[in-house]
Amino acid sequence: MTAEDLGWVLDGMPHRPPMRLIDEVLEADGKQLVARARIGDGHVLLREGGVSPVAAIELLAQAAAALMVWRAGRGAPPAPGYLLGTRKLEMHAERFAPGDELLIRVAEVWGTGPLAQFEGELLRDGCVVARGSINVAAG
Amino acid sequence: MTRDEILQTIVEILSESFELDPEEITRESKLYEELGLDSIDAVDIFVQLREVTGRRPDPQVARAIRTVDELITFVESELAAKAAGLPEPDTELPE
Repeated sequence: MTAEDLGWVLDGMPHRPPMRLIDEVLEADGKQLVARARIGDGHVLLREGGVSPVAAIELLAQAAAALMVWRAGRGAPPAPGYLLGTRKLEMHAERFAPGDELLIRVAEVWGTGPLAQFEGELLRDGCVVARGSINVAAG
Repeated sequence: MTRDEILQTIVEILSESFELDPEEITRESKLYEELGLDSIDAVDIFVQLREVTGRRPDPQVARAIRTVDELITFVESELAAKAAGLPEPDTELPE
């Protein structure tokens, strides 16, 4: 599926700008999703000219949410979900700067009931700037 | 792996992931009531055990496990299923 075909995924997320940090869903299948996020001059998390790399956790979480929207199907009502945390996150950038384009890849690891774990990574200019796993809950 | 080896692996996972004293983890230990774990911790445990067994755990089976001894039996069963080439169960993702 092309990015144009996947525009409905963003609309199905409960997040709205400026707090919806991913701008485009590029690829999706049953188990993984790739999204893009641009750091603009007015980014909601911009502080002193940069965005903290800790924002990677939220970017991974929103990409995971997008994957769950894709799995629910076009037209399904937005469902609430919660980021529970991360036990392991590597960060390899001091900050994200205006003009940066980040590629976010997430894949399901395992889930049971309302809980699930996703693993993912953020890339900037083809280099991994963050990698880790997150736990989420739905409902 | 023997049951003792599986126990040692589980003790390592629990002590390193949740900062538990290895000396206080026994076969009879109850995961939630005695070791103080919760359902979110359980997700982490089974994700790590997947790396031991090479198989994705069945969520319904995982939810029923309450003690370390039951975890050992679960890992034994998964290793046997892997050796037999049985298909993995589907995962459940929140909807």
